[in-house]
Amino acid sequence: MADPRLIQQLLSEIGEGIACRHYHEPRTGIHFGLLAGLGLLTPIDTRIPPCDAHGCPLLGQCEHEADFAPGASPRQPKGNRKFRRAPEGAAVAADAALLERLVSAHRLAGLVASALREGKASVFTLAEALLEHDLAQVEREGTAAPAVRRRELGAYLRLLEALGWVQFEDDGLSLRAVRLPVHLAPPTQLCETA
Amino acid sequence: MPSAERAWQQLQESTGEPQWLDVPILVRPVGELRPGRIVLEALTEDGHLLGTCAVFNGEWYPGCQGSIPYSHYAPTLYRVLLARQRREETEPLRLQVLKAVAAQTRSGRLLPVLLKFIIAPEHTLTGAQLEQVYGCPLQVFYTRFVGISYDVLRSREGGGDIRGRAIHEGYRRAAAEFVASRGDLERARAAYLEGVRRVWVEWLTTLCLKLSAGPLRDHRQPLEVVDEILDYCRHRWEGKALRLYLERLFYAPSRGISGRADRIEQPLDGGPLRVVEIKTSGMDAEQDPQTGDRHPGGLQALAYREILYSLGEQSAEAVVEEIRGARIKPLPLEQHPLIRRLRLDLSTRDERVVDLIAQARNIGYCVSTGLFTGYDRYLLDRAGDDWRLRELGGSFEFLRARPPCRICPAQHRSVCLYGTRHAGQPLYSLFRYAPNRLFAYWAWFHRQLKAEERASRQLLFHLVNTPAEMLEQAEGITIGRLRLVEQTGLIAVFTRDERIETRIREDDRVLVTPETRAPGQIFSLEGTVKAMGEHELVVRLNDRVAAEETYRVDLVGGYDLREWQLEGLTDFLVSAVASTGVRGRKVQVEELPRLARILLGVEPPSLPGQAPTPPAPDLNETQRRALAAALALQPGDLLLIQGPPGTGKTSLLAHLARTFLARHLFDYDGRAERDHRPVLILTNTHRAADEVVLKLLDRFPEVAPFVIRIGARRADMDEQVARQTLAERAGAREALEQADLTQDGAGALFRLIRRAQTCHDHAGIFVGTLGSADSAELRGLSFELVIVDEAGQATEPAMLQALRHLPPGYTGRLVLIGDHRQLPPVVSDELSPPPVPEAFRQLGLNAGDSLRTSAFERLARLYPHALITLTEQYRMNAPICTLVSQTFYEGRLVPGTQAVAEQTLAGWLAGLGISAPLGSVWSGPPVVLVTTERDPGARDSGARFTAGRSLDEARDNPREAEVIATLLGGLVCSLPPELRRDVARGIGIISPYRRQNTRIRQELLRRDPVLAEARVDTVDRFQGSEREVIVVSLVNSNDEAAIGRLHADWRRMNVAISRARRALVIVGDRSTFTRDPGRLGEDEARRYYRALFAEIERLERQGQACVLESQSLS
Amino acid sequence: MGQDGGEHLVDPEATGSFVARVNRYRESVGHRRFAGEDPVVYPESKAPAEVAAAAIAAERLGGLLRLDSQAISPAEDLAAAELDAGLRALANWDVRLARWRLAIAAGYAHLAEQQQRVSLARALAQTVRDLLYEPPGRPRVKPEAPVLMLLPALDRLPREELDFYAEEAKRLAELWREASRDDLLWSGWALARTRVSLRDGEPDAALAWLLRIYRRNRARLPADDPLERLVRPAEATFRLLLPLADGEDEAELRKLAEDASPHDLLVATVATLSQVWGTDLLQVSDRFALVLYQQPEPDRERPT
Repeated sequence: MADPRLIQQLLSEIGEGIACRHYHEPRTGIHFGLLAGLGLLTPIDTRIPPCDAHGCPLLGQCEHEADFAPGASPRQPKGNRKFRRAPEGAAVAADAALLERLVSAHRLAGLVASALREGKASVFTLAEALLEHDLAQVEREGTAAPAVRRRELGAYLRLLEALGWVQFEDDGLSLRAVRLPVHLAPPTQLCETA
Repeated sequence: MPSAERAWQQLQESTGEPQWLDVPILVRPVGELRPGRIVLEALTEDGHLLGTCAVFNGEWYPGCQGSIPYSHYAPTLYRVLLARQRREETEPLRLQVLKAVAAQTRSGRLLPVLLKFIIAPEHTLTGAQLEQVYGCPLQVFYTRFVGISYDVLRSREGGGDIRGRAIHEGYRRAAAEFVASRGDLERARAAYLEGVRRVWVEWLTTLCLKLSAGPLRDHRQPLEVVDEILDYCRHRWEGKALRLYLERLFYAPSRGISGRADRIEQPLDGGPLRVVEIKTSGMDAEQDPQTGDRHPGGLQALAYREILYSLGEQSAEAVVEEIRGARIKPLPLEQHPLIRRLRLDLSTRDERVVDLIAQARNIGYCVSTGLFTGYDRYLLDRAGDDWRLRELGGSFEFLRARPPCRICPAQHRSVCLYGTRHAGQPLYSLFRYAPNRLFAYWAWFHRQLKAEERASRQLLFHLVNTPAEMLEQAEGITIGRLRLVEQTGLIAVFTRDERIETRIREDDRVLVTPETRAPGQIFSLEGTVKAMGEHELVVRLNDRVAAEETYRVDLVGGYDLREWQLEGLTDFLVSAVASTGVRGRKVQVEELPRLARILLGVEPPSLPGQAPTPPAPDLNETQRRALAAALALQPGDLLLIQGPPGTGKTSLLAHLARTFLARHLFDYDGRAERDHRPVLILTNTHRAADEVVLKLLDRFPEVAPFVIRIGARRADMDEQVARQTLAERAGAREALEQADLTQDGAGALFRLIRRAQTCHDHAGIFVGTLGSADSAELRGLSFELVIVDEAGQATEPAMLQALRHLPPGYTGRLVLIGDHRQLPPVVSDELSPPPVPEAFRQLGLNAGDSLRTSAFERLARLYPHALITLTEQYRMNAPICTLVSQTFYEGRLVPGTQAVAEQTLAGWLAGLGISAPLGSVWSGPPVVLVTTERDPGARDSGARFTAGRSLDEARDNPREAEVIATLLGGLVCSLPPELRRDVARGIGIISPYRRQNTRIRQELLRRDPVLAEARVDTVDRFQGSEREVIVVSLVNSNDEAAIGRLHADWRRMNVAISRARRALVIVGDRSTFTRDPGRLGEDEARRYYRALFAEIERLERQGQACVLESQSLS
Repeated sequence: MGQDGGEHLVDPEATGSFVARVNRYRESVGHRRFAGEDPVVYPESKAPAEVAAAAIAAERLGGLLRLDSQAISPAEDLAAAELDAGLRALANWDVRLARWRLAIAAGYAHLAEQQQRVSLARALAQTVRDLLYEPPGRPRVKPEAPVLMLLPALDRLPREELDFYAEEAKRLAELWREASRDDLLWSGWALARTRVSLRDGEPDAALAWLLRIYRRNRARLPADDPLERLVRPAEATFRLLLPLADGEDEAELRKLAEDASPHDLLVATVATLSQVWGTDLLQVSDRFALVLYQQPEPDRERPT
């Protein structure tokens, strides 16, 4: 459900308008955090438009509409929920082949590659690698929310499977590398391009 | 002449002017109750009639010039008497009469009139509860009686009170160390820092709730105030001889108030006592009208001072020590704004002080026991109309100006409509509009929890007013004449010469008091029992104890564990009604969420489905079917899994948790808007929770980084499990030890919090007890799958705690694993359950059921199709398995593998390298019955403790103990000496009575010291464990065939005999258990026991069992 | 009906026995309710006196009456009457009376639609209370919040009634916020407070509000200022409370304060300001009053 054609179709559908994740994610099943991570979409974090400004089809029935209304309480964070298409997004909308380059440049590529060194690994080792990565980042900088979240890693793995680079096995418990592009091979240390 | 009669006499003499009496009497209403004029019949404590008296509204009496408006005495007494009439409680009500007058009526008759009194002083309220009544009586009604609690799905910042806790702990240790080391500042500082460090490690999870960019004031203040505290100690105590009493419980039986003062200073040169209450946070502070600054904790210090006065310590001075920023400001009570605002004069016997405390105490009692509204749905709703509960009278000058709505859970759940900020859609008329069946279900359990609370709240009064010998002989809850032998740190060892016969056992909460004082008179100290010997007792206390006095130890027991069950029950009522999305009208039971309808018997859960499961070679057929059914469960559905003894219940649970986590490994993000995690496992006891974590870690090590054991590290916790607690995962202990707290303590704490938050974000499986459902780790988290282990031992309200963490509208999966044929929930026993209404048939409740009927048993009766029973067991060999299966499980229980079926005692001993021929008993078949029917000496000693709260009547049977010692001695002595320890460790001896267990231990020690390795314990403490050889001593053997209250529950016998792996020996009098006693109530148990002995005879015919006469052995 | 038209002398025994029978019902139901049941009143026999007693007991308890296999709510019309009385009290800014009547209505109502209408009225009471007693534009106060949050959960009320009250709550809240910025609206709001104080029999409070209105509109008044004659005695009543400035004589102030009459000052203020503002100040004040929803078709009666 996160294969390249669907992503391309979604990007062309968004065009120059504003894409809200509460409308598109349930419809297409594509995780917006992944698209932002790949550089296809840029989150709108300042002067976030209310829902009626960009004519969202869910006007009136969406429970998140109150969060974006002008007088909404600051308790609910409004950032990272509405996006615009980035230039690479427009390029991929035109030609899907570009996607593979972006996927291998994604900040999780290194982490996945180092986990699949021996060709096969359990999903738990992948999740543990992400935990270690977050702990290391907290140790280094002491920031609160690490950049990468687990749902984005899950969507990334499903995208790799759609591209045919990896294969889920024994009922989703482990992951086998089918053909990893050479430049995705594990660099010496964790790259952090966020 | 007892004080009541003397006071009554004295009253009659001086007619017309009110007198201060302060004497307890018993009263009974006479004639028809009218609000304005209550006529009572007064009696003394021991029942002699004193005469009739009356209580009028507004403290008026015939011949009195005016009446006092806003007086709460008459209206509150009227409501209490009316409620007791409605509840058909006939025994008289105790009143502590403070002030009364003998008034001359117009017809010339002399009529005593009671003006000021305390209602039911035997029901104890704590100082904190008085403070809450003073804040807002309606909040007491919603939180103390109804039991409304915060919505655990909504994240809420904690941490403010941890700063207070750290300062309290540090100050307490520094003060104790300063006095003990005679003024050594360095040791006091080290003790302070150790106290702060310990609190931070234990409460790290609450500190993690607050997201912050850097160290906060909450983290810095405990360290900044160190020097100030040490100077203050040095300044006050340098070179003075005094003794400190820390965290001492004190209690006034005449006022019905108890409290715990932070510190009491007693100068050795005989100066006045000084009671100190340390206050840090300013939340509930009292505004000083003149100076405008705020001072907290006025009423609590006033209540403690009143307790001291009623105990006769007239000269005591009470001080509130306020810690503001880095400075301490001691504030004598006279200058406290509360005293100045009410113009109270503390030097004389000012009646306004008594009024203030009596109002809080009486209204607090009337409301928190439910006498104000009972379970009348109209009155429950009307109570919320006015936050000052004007119907109970009471002066608003004795209440705070504005109610503290911000911290009130009823306002957060929009049940109370006064709050300034509405959290959601207001719940108008919650109790009237709740569906009838849901309300009846709530009221039926609520009444039983409240009955238990009332019994334990009257315990202190019972301890003070009953002579110590009666408590020790008849009830066995007190041990007197104990001498302190030695005290290392906080562990104290007491001994006495004569044997200790008591019901108190390990892990019980006790009260240690010098014999010169009554329990609760300032010098009582709370503690937990670590070890019980024949002549000595080891107790872990909160403070050091003076060596020169003799002490008495009283069993206090734990009520507070019931409070969280009340919250679980009421949360079910509020959340079920709130999640229907319908407001303002009567909710139909069909509109409730699906899981609520299943629990209320409206519709059945769906049939267990079959989902694809990953390869699980180590699970048998039924376990795999149960796993598949659990994985196929739809949100909002329920599955029951019955796990008879030894059927691998925990390994099934581990497989389910790991597979579910793998399926949802990437579906959750820490701190997203709606934090939705995969698996929550709640058990009934800490031991069971540790077992689940151990099984999970050694079966699936790759899951370890995502498992969190809820709660702080406990002393008896396995090292591997302790590492899974959040504090240990973040390396709290080492981080705080290395960091130099005075320099960069706050920074170290902040980094530690940040690490703990990250580990918490990634965690997917949380394991804890049902009591910790509202703990800090789980706050704001909802779970896809909630599993309750040992569900057969959890009461229904306890099980409802598991629902609190299902997503809103209970759209999550609930799996109950347990066995209703094994031990039932632990409930205090002598309370008679309320009648089961006819309509409860649809709930699956029968006539004799009560709180002791677990939800698992009820639902198993209601929905047999939703129950999956695991049938292959891996513990007992074939004969024992057949015995248990035929008697208790209709023959469905079978050995899992051939090896298990054929394991024998000889095989086990051969494994240990022993091939010596065994005695006649041990080489025969694995099931042995040693019957003592025809053995005249084998009669039980009769019940020793008949009165009191516990089931255990403390019987014992010396002959059986001797037979067991002979048997085991025969087995062990014939073995080579070096292997005796291992064999003894594989033996377990079970009997229902602790007195019999102590006697068996003595017999075994006399026979062979190595037998001390064998575990001798009651059935309840053997639950969950197993042994190669099990010997069961039935003890009951008498002519009237009395099997006692413990044996009346046949499930204990099932647990006892199903602990054995290879050999089972039952020693007891067969006829006592099978004869028909002609008494009601035991027929079900008798039926099972007859089946048990019949099965043994059948096995004997097949040569798999043998029956011996006890005389043939000695 | 009054067949014989003669004087009806009350028979003490019959009344006593009838009332005793009613109390017997009430006591037994009260007893079982105290234990948690929500019992229905069953007449013990078909005798008319018995049925009458049971009906009256059920009505007084606000419970249900069981008449040959049907459950009847005998006090439903009382609930409707109390609800109307409560809403009318709200329209007259009488929040205490409204809350009392609505509490009684909540006790009697058993039909779902009626219950929800009572709950909506209680939310409106909260709105009117905030509107009236919170100073306009006060932060963190949203008068319309209780109503707007409750409306989506009222599933048995007609759509237009819900929309009507949603609009009404928003209008009042907007007006209340506007009043903090607009002098005319503020004066209207203060006038409403004045009228409430006068009705509650607190002349000093009314005087205080009138002085505030006067102070607020002082700049707009013409030079010859017709209110001066009435304002000076009103100010005298409050000046007496303060330490006397030099040149003021206590006795003279006291005499002046005698004829301070809030009613005259009210009429004069309304007249003057209406002229100054060009609109009737009373009408501006009436805009703060809650408008009640009227059934669109006059003939379809509510279930009375």
